[in-house]
Amino acid sequence: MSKGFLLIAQNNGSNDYVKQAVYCANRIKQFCPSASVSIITNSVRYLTDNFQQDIFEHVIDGINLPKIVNNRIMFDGALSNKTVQWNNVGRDLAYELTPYEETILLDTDYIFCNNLLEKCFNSVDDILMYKKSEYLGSTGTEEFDRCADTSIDFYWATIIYFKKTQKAKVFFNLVKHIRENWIYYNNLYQINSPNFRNDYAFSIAVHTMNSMSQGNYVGELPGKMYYIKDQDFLEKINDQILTFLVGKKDHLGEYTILTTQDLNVHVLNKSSLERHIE
Amino acid sequence: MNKGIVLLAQNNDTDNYVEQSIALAMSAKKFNDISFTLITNDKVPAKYTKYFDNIQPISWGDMAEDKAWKIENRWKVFHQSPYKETIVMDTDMLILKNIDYMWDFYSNYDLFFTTNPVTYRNEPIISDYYRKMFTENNLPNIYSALYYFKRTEFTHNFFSYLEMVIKHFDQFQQDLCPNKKQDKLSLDVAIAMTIKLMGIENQVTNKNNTVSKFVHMKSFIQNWKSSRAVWQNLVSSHFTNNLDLYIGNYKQTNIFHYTEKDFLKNANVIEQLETHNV
Repeated sequence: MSKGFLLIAQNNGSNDYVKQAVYCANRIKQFCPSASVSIITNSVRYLTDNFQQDIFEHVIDGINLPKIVNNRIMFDGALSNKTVQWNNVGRDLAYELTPYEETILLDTDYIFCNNLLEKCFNSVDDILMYKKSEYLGSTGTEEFDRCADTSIDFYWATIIYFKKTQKAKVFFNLVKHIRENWIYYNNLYQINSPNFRNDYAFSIAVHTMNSMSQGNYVGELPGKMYYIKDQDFLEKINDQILTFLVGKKDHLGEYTILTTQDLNVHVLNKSSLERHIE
Repeated sequence: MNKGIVLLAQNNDTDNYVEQSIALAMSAKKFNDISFTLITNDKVPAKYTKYFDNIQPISWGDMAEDKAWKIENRWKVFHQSPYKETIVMDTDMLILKNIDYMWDFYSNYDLFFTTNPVTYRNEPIISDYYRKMFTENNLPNIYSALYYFKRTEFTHNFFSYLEMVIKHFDQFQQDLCPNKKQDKLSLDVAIAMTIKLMGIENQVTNKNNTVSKFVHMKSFIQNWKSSRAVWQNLVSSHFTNNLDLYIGNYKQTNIFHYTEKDFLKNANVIEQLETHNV
């Protein structure tokens, strides 16, 4: 049965997701040497012209993926931000587009420092996601407990393990339906997000498939989702040792240095990430 | 009679507890073949008497005649229950599941009080917002909204003590609640003091219990970060065509303690149940 990692890179003029994907793929290969990695991108030409493409087993043209561009304020540290265009639509199509029987779909801004995720392959569950998360900085992580204060549990769409099964197919189709009717679901679940967000759509799908209650339709990925915010900085990458500057609570623009070792980290400050992967 | 649910309803100037009792009995009949006894001095509309196997007046006079918050008669349920095994409930509740398994659980006890209700999201209630009396006086954290008793000497003793505590509530508070006092008679506090007085907490509660529980909808204990006094202003509520109740898009499959009396009218509960020939 084929198994592999799948990255989606849709460049938007502000961030170079292809570059991030190439870096991410190399990190996957470093810590999971036998892993297969594939990419879906709307910038195939850019990839082939500028990067070592043989890191990818399959390069899948995503030029026909839905194009709904959201505007989003993206920070680069606490004191700098800009409004960027953000095309995050189409993640629900990963089920149809993946070349694998077992897939780990993941964001390009996820820095591999261990092989923990590889252990998901051969899971008894058809779908695995992260529900537990931990912010590496000084403030709490409660912002990602729920989609909104009175709403449902939050699941991260950053990493999704799935098998090619009827159960997963139904799940991804439901996410697609939620995306296509986002205004309705956004209001129904009191999320009040101006933009479509994959985490919310997948969370609603999980809640729905759990018969509108708590449940175990989706299993949990191993460990936790560790992350830094876009108000923080990635300071240094030294193999599996990562150094961050995380914002001090109630002291805007002041940071605390933090080091992790052997820990996979989701870096929400994409600009900061790109500066380190030149 | 072997088993049944007893409700004690006394209307006051603002709230119709008989109407609540009718809704409770109707909701239960959808899932259960269960006997109900209603103890009330108020009139029950003829078309709704069919939901009760017994309707009887309050014995030994109305001790709450001049009270707006009518608690003084609640100890009488033990003496008036026609059943060998009785569940007593507050009237502002709905039964949204089959509760046969709860009887099996209760059969291990002479008397059992719930100590761990849940939120509408089926999570443990963490806050003691409404329970400072219990925390500060180290009282057993029991809820009288749902409890069970068998007709035994032990329970007879308990209700005799409870009668005494209710009749002399202020005096017992002086001794048993040195750190914080309740302005008006509270059944929860009276029962908690009785349990403490008799030293029987471990006999009548079980902190690991997951069977005898209910959804407690008081607003400030829903694990929301920002709350308001009225939960109906924060989350949606609706019945589906199958009479499934959804609160904030969570399907309610438990015993539901709505606490806000106007919920019955706002959600058209009795009309919905009647429409479906319950």
